[in-house]
Amino acid sequence: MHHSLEFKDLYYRYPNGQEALRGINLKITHGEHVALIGANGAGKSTLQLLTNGLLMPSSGEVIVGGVKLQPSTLRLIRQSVGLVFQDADNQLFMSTVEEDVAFGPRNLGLSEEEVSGRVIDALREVGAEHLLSKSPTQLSGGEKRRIAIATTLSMTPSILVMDEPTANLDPKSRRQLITLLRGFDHTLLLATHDMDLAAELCRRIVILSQGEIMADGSAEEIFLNKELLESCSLEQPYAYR
Amino acid sequence: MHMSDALVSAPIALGADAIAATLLAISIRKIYRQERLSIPLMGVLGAFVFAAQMINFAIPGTGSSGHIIGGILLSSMLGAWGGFFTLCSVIVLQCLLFADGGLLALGCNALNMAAFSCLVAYPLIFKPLYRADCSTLKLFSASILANIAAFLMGAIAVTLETTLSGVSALPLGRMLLFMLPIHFVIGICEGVATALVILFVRRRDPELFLHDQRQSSPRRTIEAFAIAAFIIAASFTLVASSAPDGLEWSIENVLQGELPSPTSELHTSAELILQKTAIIPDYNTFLAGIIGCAILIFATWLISLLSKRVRGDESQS
Amino acid sequence: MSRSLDKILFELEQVAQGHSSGLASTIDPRARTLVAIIFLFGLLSISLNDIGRIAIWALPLIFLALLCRVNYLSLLSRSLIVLPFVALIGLFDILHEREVVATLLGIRITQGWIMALAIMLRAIISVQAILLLILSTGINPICRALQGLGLPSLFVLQLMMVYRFLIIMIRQLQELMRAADSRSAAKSHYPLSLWAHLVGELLLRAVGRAKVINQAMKARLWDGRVPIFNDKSCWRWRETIFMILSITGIALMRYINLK
Repeated sequence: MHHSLEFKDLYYRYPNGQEALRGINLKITHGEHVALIGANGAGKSTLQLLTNGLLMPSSGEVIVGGVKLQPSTLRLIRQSVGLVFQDADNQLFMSTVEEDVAFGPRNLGLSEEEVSGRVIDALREVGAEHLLSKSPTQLSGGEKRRIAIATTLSMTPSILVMDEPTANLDPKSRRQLITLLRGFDHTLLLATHDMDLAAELCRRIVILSQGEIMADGSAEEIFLNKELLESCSLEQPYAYR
Repeated sequence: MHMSDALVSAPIALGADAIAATLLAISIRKIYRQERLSIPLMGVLGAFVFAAQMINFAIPGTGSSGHIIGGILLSSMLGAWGGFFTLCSVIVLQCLLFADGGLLALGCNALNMAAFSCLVAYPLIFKPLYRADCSTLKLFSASILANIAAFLMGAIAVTLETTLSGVSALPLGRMLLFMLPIHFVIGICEGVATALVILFVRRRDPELFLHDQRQSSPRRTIEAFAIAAFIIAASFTLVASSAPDGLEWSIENVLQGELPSPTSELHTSAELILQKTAIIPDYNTFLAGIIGCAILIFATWLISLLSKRVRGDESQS
Repeated sequence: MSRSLDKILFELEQVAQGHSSGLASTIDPRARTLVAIIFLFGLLSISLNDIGRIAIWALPLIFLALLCRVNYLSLLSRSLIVLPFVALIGLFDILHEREVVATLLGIRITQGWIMALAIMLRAIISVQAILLLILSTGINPICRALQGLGLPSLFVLQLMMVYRFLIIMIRQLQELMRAADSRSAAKSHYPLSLWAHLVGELLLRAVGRAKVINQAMKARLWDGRVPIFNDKSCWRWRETIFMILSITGIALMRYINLK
């Protein structure tokens, strides 16, 4: 139940009045892997920032695991939703990997033993235990991405929201990441331009265009519909051509 | 720009360290009270200023190049104490990472480069003049005046520090004569550079630069200009009047002995060289007295102004 | 800074963590930092007439560099960077102290030359001490050590963040400069208007990054207070012995009468 993510009639307006999201209705259930695709400026980033309350809806609701997003529930929701940003450097702001991954659990007020346990578990999940005492400046792009994921995993979220997870990764790191994500049983919402990633990992595709949901269906339905993709300034993934 | 340990004696260095440490402690307390100040912003802007100091601009008219320090620029985004705090962190790291400036001389460097620009020139000159929508002319005058004042104060401080340490080969007055015009020009350069950056950036992100919430008034503008004028005039007057020799005399009295200096022989030879090239001729004691009085009057007025401003700021926050 | 940005980046990347290995690496950073500070105090208090004594202070650094597997020659070459400034001060001494104190191979050596040499030697040795400390211990452990020695947490966090993002800023600056250079002749310095564009662009990116970091911190339940660091360091007998030995050694070097 608490692995579900729902947007009900969601609107978001920038301070200057411009509408970024219009009437978003979307329900993602337990364990689903959903790809959020759309051209730049479609509203993907805005939607992601709404999942954990970094932005609050102008109107409508965001419901995470049955809990409505509001100021009083922010803390709870931020534990349930792990947000992985596009630029890993922005998530690794402490001086060692250990401190970055421990940052979340420490803010939860856990004891040091519990924090250590969470850190080791999170690093093990992403296959990066050997990087524990490294400084972020010493990591490669792929390693940074994995550690960034670990920094959210240490808070044991049930839902992972990722912004362009394969951006700037070399092919090997990209493959490692896909393998990693395939093994996750979290509910996944991936915002991406990487159509092949979406095709490989996600059974359900949601297309966002100019703040509205243009399409929401299975990978087969969406990716075989060439006209639909082109109308949203997108392309078919290789696997479906 | 950065003073090395060789330039200051231990007592001066430690004294400056103590003052700088106190100011740093105050800045931390002020930062905690200011909710708007974000820790990531200070960290990233510190890195930004550090990097920005690595890229030089050509100084028009001369063949040389320079770089900014960034005190006024930082303060325009982080406030006086936030700017001071951030610039201090940069100065410390420059010493640790690149041996730019001595370890004991950190206090001196913090005072010379950060304190005067962020804690004096910014709040008294730049801040009252700057508005988010102010004209380019006003922006440039604010920036140039504030930076000139900051660099002149820094130059005087460096001169005092080295003279009191017995490292300077020149008498106080002559050294100032040498340092002040140079720093006046440097102040103009940094003033122009700072204003250009603010001009470029505020088009894209006008909220970035802090501005006084109070209404701009002619009185405030005049005050800011007056303070800038005072600092600049007083600095140069310091050279022209009997004050430097008087200062040396009083320092000697306080230290109960000769001002530590390498030699009188060197002073004489340096004096000879400078007298031949000096623009300001030998002073007239009567004139010096008048100027001395004027400085005293200005100082009194400034102190009263500062105390009003402090009370005014407290009631705003 | 006339050195190329690449060289600066390389030097910065070297110092994230310490490089020391063997026995030296087990000593707590706080002890190392304290000893370095005491070393510097001792060195800088030596009178400029005592050039022999000053020269001796290089020896423990050479020994420690060996112990920490740091290349002393690279320390030496990096320390030479302060010479131009210090030489100026030495120049004044050469000019004034004309009293001849020794004759070497027929050349009369004045007090001034001795003092100038002393001042330069003192300067480069003190720089080497700082560089050795940083290279063997790492900037982050040193910042932690300073916190352990009383530096406020907020300032320590600031130091670590500035270091953390400095490399990123320099890389972005390089990108911007390369873009500018590829459309004009590559220079070491830029006309003011172009300079302002580069720096302004860098500033905008910095601010944008700060906003996202803020979001990332809030997403992990940060409440705006300075994060508590888990202090893993501990002071054992090893550190106490190290301190006693070092202070004794420094005192000996400072005060013992060589004659």
